[in-house]
Amino acid sequence: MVTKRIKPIIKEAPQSNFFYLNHSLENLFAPPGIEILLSKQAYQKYSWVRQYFSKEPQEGYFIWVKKQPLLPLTTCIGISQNKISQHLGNLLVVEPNLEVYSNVTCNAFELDLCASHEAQGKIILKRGASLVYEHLHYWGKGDYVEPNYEFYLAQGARLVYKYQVLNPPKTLKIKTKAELAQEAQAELKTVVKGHHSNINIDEEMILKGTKAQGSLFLRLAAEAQTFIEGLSHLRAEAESKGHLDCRGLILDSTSTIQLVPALINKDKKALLTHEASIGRVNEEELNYLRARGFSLEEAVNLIVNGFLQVT
Amino acid sequence: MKQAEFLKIKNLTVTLQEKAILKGVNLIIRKGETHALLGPNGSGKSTLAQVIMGLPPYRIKNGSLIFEGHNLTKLSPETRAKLGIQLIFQNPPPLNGISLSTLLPYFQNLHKDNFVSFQPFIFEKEIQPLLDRDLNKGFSGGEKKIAELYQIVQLQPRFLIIDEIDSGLDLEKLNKVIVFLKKQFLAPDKSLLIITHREEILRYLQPTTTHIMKDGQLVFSSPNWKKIWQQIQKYGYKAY
Repeated sequence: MVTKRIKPIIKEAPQSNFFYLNHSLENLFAPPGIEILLSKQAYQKYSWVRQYFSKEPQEGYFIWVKKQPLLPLTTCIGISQNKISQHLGNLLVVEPNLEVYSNVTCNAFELDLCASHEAQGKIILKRGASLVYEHLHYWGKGDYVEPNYEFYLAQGARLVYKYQVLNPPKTLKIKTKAELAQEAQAELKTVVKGHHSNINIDEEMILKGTKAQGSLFLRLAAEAQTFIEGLSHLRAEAESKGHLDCRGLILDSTSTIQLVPALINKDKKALLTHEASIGRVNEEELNYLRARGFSLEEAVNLIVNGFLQVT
Repeated sequence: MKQAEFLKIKNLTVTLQEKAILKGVNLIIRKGETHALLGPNGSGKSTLAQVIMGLPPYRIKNGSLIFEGHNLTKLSPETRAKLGIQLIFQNPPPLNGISLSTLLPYFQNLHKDNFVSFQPFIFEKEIQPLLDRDLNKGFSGGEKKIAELYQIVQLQPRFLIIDEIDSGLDLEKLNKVIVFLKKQFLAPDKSLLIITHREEILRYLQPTTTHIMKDGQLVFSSPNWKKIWQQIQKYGYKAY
């Protein structure tokens, strides 16, 4: 039941560090050493912030981590009204050598709101900073969603970004970009299961500094007239290492997955590798689980959920 | 007095891509009995195990499989599992992103009637590091068998088919497995069908009946496993 999964997110939302609903701020709690503002306030308050926005943002968050947080930072952006259209400009800045765990949820509180959620996010990790960023999306069947996130990693910074769509919107356009300076390391993991959805994914990782290391993981499952198009670019501009891992699972004959992995190497000392596959549910796995007592539907669900696990 | 028939296979003919793999197999297994199935490689032993479990891609062309009055030929593998039939696979497939820890709560739900929340397990030390790994992925032959046994212990089947449990297990572990199977599954209300190439298994389990399968047929059956084993040692399967 879908609604059972929405409710806990709503329940936890009011306790978030930043809880934004429709077009208004519902809750803001900034722990010591962390500044949290609406992004339009930050745009007016700090001149250095303006370089990260193409124009003055009207909605969205600004989080500036200046001291080591003791707890994960939680952000919740929600939509609860029909045909709301959000245009968020978000900025997260982590000062050098701090370690941050960020839990971000964006969701529709009902499944039939036909809402729109567009987010332009920039995440700045300064020298030696570390960020684990869990980004969960949960949408209704008529929603339009367009997350566009850029990550800039300074020397020695670390990033694990996991974007997962628990319930897909009608249209989803994901754009993700990461730039890694010297000795920076990043893993970008995108996990999407489409159901009556049109999904476009465009991701790019640029290994700019020497000894940078990066991986892109894509796990996509498609059912019920879903079309998924995925473009993954991994570019080396210095002596570095990168890996691209794209996998798709087609669950019925009405859906299509199209994956285009691209490796661009501009340095003879760099090493870029990739794996890519699109297939169907493995019959041997299916039969094994059925022999253990799982119904066909339960076995398929287990296999799909297993496939979508990226640790 | 003989126990009631548990599994009755009558004139079973099974094909794969129009080629007959099992050719008129007849077999009756009663409650409390242990049957051993011997035979050369490719004789159809594993096919019979999989057909009893209801696994594709085999097609039943003729004959019947009756388990406690249920016509198995019409039932899905999961329904057969729920009736209490289980198979320890010879080569279980690797499962991506699915671990034993993921499966166990489901087993509890799936088999509400006969699930026992805590089952002692002989390989407790060996199973611990496997619980959270992708099941069978990168497992050694022995680890696969231990993981199979662990699931079976949770599921508590009444009719267990074991397809070459010996492969991948060293002698010490094999002995432990045999003692364990004897304790768990030699009971008046349970039955075992065991496919093996090992004398130790026959000696410890003392099968009620031992069968020889050749070219898709049960060519010989006897309660005297020792005599059969001696003949095989002496002449190979040519003796049958």
